[in-house]
Amino acid sequence: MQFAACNHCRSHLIGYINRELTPAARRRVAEHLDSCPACYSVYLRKRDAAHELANGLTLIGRSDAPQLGDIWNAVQSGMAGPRRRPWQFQKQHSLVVLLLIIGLLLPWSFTQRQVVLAVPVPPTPRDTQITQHTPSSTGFVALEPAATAAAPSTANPGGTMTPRVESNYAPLPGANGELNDLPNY
Amino acid sequence: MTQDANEIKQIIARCLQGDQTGYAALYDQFGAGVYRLCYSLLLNREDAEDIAQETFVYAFKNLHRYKPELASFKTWLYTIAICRCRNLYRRNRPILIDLSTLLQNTLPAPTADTPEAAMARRSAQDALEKALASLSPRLREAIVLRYGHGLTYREMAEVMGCPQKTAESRVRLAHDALRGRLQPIGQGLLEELLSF
Ligand SMILES: [Zn+2]
Repeated sequence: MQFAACNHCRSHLIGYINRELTPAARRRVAEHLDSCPACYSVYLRKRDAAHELANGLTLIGRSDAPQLGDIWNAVQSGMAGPRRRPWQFQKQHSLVVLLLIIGLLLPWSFTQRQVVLAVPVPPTPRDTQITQHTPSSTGFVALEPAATAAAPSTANPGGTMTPRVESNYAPLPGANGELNDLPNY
Repeated sequence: MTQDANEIKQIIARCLQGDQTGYAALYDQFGAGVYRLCYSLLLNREDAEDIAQETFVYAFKNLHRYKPELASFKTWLYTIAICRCRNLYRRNRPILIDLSTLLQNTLPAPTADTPEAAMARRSAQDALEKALASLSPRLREAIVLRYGHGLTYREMAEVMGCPQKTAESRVRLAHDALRGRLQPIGQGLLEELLSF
């Protein structure tokens, strides 16, 4: 029982010394210290040690007036000028944004190229004059089936194959009219 | 809210209204503490000056963000300072300075000390600072905030961004680690310090 009480007391000694315990916990530790010489001895050592440690650590990094003045001057400069850290952040941030833009633009540019290739070039509009032609008025001669069939045999006596002439493909120049009469396409 | 906290609140209100003397008043009150915190964590004078400057510049430019109902101004400043010190740790800059030399240069002995007492004090400080350098950053933060600046565990938890129990256990771990480092030196006083 005493062992448990001592353990409880010692585990709360730092809090007791630093006045961080609740009133109830503080009273419990104090009562044990009054009744237990061993724990009281430990308490005294820890209390002195805490004070010494606090004194030692408060001496480390102690600055003098000129040094604090230098820092204050730097603070004032920093307040007046651009902040260093946010600038670094912005630089990194803008780099990320730039990479993102490039990443987005690359596939888009490919897509754009495909679209351009897929769209046909629109025909250039030009003035056309559509006229009705009749064989009698233009001097065109409508090809008769007999004349079409006879033509290859006269041009190629050997009987080689020749392209078939469409009946409505072209007029026979000079047959019965002038080339000047052709519609000007 | 304590008298001090009310006073700080009024100074901050002055700053926010454009009164430049308010900034100087805040620096007068907290400048030395912030520098000492930075030095104790970084153990390098130049780094500590840079971080202290950055801390105040950031705090002053963001003064409108400070919420007195959430934390004391000191705690808020220390949180900013610790955050910047951690950024410096992450750059993996080892502590290369000769701490004992630095300590002798920066810590004048109290005038009331006899030469023997001054030597003993310097030796104890030397050992303590070397031991601090050997701690991991988190444990160093804990022991410095607790004993160097008297923060409560709750305040430490706020500043270090961890649960209160973690802050407590870090202090205990720091004690254990320091005891191991300091025993070979044979400083009776410091062994006592680390008998927690
Ligand atoms: Zn006991």
